[in-house]
Amino acid sequence: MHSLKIKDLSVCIDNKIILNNFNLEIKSGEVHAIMGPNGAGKSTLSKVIMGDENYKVINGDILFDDVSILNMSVDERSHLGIFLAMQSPMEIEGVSNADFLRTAVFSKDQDNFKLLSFIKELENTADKLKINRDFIHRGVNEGFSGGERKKNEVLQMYMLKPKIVLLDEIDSGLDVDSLKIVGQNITSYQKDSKCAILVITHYQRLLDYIKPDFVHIMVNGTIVKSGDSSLVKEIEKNGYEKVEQKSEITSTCIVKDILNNE
Amino acid sequence: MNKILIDKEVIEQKIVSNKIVVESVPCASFFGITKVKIKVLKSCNLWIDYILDDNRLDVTIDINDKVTLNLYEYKKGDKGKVRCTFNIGEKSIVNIEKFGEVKNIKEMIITNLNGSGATFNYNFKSICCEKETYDFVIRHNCLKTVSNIKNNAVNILDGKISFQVSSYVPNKMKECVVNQYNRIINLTDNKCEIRPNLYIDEYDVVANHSALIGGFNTDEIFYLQSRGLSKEEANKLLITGFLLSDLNSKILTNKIKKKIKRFWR
Repeated sequence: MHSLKIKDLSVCIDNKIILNNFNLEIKSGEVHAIMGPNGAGKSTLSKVIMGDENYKVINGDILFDDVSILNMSVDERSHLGIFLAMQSPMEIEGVSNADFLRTAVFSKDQDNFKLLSFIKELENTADKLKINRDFIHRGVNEGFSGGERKKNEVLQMYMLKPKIVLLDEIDSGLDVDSLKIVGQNITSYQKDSKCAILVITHYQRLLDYIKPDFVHIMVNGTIVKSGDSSLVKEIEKNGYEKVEQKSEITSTCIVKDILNNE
Repeated sequence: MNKILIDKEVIEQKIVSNKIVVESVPCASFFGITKVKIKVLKSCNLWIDYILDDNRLDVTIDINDKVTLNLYEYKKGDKGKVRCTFNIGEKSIVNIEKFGEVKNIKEMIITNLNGSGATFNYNFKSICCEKETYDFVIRHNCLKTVSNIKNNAVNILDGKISFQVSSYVPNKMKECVVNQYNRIINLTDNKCEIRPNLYIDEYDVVANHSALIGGFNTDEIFYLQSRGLSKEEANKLLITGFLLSDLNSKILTNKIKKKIKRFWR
């Protein structure tokens, strides 16, 4: 049983506060969905959990199994079992997917790494995700379409076997069929591994496949409302306007408090 | 494959076909310059090894019309100056893959695209440890000629590398394609230089030039680290990808890999 606890987290970039007093706890086997308007800080949250150095944590803590990870490097967090499927996966010139994944898996497994079983697993997973096997030997995301890049992220997730999976708009750029494949495969991995999932999305369509146990609405860098999957339907129907209005007064007060403490 | 070894005085040849003619002039008669003339008569692959030991080389490669030449070049040594001239005929294609391990080198590459439809594809890789200077002159002397210049270099230790790439398209040379892509990953505080020049006197031309000097994108490093690679592993992987991109020659690939291994364990 693993847990990721985010406690009173406030984060800024270029003196602008993006996350303020953010609190969330995710445990193994749970699926949390975060929704919110553009600029709410959803992607920032996922990058900060992963350890992106562009963001400055000014308050609070992130705990993995009750141990702070704030001082850990990005790769150390990855070795703990945290995985971020990115909204815009990078294109890496000249580095083949296979070489990249081999280095990544070897870096994690070290002495337990077995090349033959790695190749077999990689090919089987590619088949499962309906990724052409040729893609394995092509440069990482080089010339990939938006959908192929997202499938590639899921392929990496399968190979690295994380305990906490952060999915940052994994549904963007996916056509209907690809969305189904990606959604079903993530759910299947979650069921088998009992990992925890944090899905960041704008739309209900992904949550039709990855059924969330908890849904949180994030506005101005903080969670303003939590509930079950019925909240998704409410947002689809009414939009964020109502929750945004409610949150404005509270968040202004929190930002003032943080700046005063700084 | 056809092979030529060009040294200070000795030129070894292993020409396995009658598609290439090699002529050389003894160095003494040209003020210490070794002159070599290579004529490519038919489509073929050619490997040239250069050994530079404080010597000066002047190499001219004439390519007949309607010929495809795949040229692989490898240079090693301490110091030297090289001038290499390509004269490319009508509808001929020259594909060059090249890697150098000369500590101190000054090189000039002159390309004359003399026939309509002539194409020059140049792909150079280097890990610079001391001083390397490369000057390119690409003359589009005919209609519909194409040049694609790609220089990828990593600058380390006491390295100072510079590229000056000048492409010329005179008036009335329509439908030419001129591309330059130059990138130096500078891992030192030393000054590196790229001058991508386009001298074009014709409207009907497609031209692109780029010059990048700096490190790798921090987002790329973050992406690789988020998959469990340490910063060192991420850098090594990016350097490997950068230097091996678009290379077909396994021999050159292995030479580059060996050098990468020496500096990035």
